[in-house]
Amino acid sequence: MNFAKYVKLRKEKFGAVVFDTLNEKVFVTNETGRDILELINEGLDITPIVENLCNMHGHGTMASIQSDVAEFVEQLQVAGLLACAKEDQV
Amino acid sequence: MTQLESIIAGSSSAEYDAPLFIAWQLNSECNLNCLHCCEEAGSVFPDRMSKEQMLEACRQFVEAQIPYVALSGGEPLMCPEFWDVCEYLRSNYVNVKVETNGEMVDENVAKRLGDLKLRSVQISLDGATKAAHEALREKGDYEKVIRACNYLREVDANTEIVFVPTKFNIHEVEDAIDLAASVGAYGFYTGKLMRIGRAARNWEKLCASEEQYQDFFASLDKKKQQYEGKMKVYCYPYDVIEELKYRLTTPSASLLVLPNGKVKLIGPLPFICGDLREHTLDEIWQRYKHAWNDPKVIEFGKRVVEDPALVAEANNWIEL
Repeated sequence: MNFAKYVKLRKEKFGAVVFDTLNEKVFVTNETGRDILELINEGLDITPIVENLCNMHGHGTMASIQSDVAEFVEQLQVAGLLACAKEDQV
Repeated sequence: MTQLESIIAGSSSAEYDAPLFIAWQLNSECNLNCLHCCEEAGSVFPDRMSKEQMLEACRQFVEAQIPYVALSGGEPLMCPEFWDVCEYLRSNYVNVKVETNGEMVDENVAKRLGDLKLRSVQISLDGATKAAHEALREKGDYEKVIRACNYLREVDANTEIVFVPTKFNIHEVEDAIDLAASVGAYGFYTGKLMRIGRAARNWEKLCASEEQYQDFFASLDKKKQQYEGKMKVYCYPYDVIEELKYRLTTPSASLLVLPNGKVKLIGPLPFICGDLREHTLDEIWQRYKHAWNDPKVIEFGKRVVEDPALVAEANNWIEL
């Protein structure tokens, strides 16, 4: 997974802000959301993201984390923040 | 549960460690003399930032991880440091929009802009005809603007057309949208005329009637549907007073930098909250957030909301 071309991510004390600069829309999320966003920024897909989160937090079942991540990724897709295909970041 | 919360165009400044957006007027020189210019652009700013100061500002923008910077003027392509600033920001992955009148975008300039992979190049096109465009944009050359759009299309630059409705051109909006599509624009942006700068001085001459605006909005709705999925047709929903009213309670996470490095709170108010030549970006950001609670700002803001003609004072700066 990757962010869409003109999407920027920045860490904040409350978590993270995602800025779709092309559509000039801003999204915010908490610290767990930030962890997921950073893993997406590294180009990881859902399965390795879930594995990473299990290792990071060490709580919750794999199934519940998987469901949370899938739901979060769906929100990102609906908001148009993820690239449909591989595209260069700018 | 992890939630993604959307904040449409109103992200409040209070929570952020740094601005999310910088609107930077690099210079005030302009080759045109537009009747509706908010910045009253034309002549050289007496104490504009030096190249070193501009690059230091860029360095701080990058360090603060500012995601998005819009470069305007005046006409930014007339700024001697334009390319240095652009290249510095882009080489550090800051998304950049350039707002130009398009007159200086020849084949070579378009190629250079294309190579920078900008977020967008925004071009002002104030009519579907030479007569309307040039009536509003004194000294303007309609053909040059159309050529600029075509050059930008050839280099795959994201081109956005901006159209400011006035008595002169408001009836041409549908044709202007079609024209934007024909030159391969990514988007067509418009919104009500702002009563600032020369537009305030020429208000009676320029401001369209309510009936004209009603037809205008109907045309936009029609065209929005026609171009859905092909070209973005967007009308900024607030006029300058509605926006100010909102911002008085929810300041945006953005700064407006003038050619001399001074930082304005917001376009329609005259208040200056810092100076990039004297303060660090972080200091300015703290001052900016504090300034919105300053009784002078609150009181003046309320007066402007009650009497919109006061927006004409916006370029008579008051340092906080």
